[in-house]
Amino acid sequence: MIRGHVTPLRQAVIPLQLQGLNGQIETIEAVIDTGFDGSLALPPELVLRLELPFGMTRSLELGDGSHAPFDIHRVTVLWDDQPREVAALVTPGGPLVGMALLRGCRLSVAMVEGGEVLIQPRP
Amino acid sequence: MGHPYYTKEEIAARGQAIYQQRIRPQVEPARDGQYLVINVETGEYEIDADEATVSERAYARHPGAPLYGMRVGRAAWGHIRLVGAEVPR
Repeated sequence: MIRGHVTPLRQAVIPLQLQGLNGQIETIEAVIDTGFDGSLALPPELVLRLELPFGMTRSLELGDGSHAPFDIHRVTVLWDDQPREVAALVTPGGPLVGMALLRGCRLSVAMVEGGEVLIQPRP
Repeated sequence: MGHPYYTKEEIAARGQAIYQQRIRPQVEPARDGQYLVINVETGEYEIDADEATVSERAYARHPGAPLYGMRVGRAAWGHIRLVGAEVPR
């Protein structure tokens, strides 16, 4: 069970534990982006700090229909206390959780300021 | 950040050129929509219907290589909406 909350800016955020190359664990707050079909998007400074290894370059389609290449780095997420390697898109701004990370789970959001965000491992 | 020797733009440009010139006839249309990862130095590639499977295989078989990920018959690997909008911390 993963619990988060709705911010004053109407974003559903959850805490997420990331493991760096040297085993260091950092807890971050990530916004759930239901228009993002990947797993994670992380800012460059976090990718550098955790020393996440480069994976590959991928072209992605953006909200305006344009395409751009993005670097993908490899990161281990502690998801429901289980380590899971996922692809992290490197992009400026706050960390984002995408729908691939939520696969198989049920997401519920109490859409009021301070409302509960709940991710349950089974639908 | 990124590959030590190539920018993401270089990797994407090389990957797309290799795809058009060498790989496309081998995979279109039979493998439409499948995930493809190209080693842009050697031209070798991995292909699979599952994106996690093809990624893991590419990392294992081509460690340290500049890799380009794409989908057969598609312009992009995936979609993202909030990119470009600054997400306040």
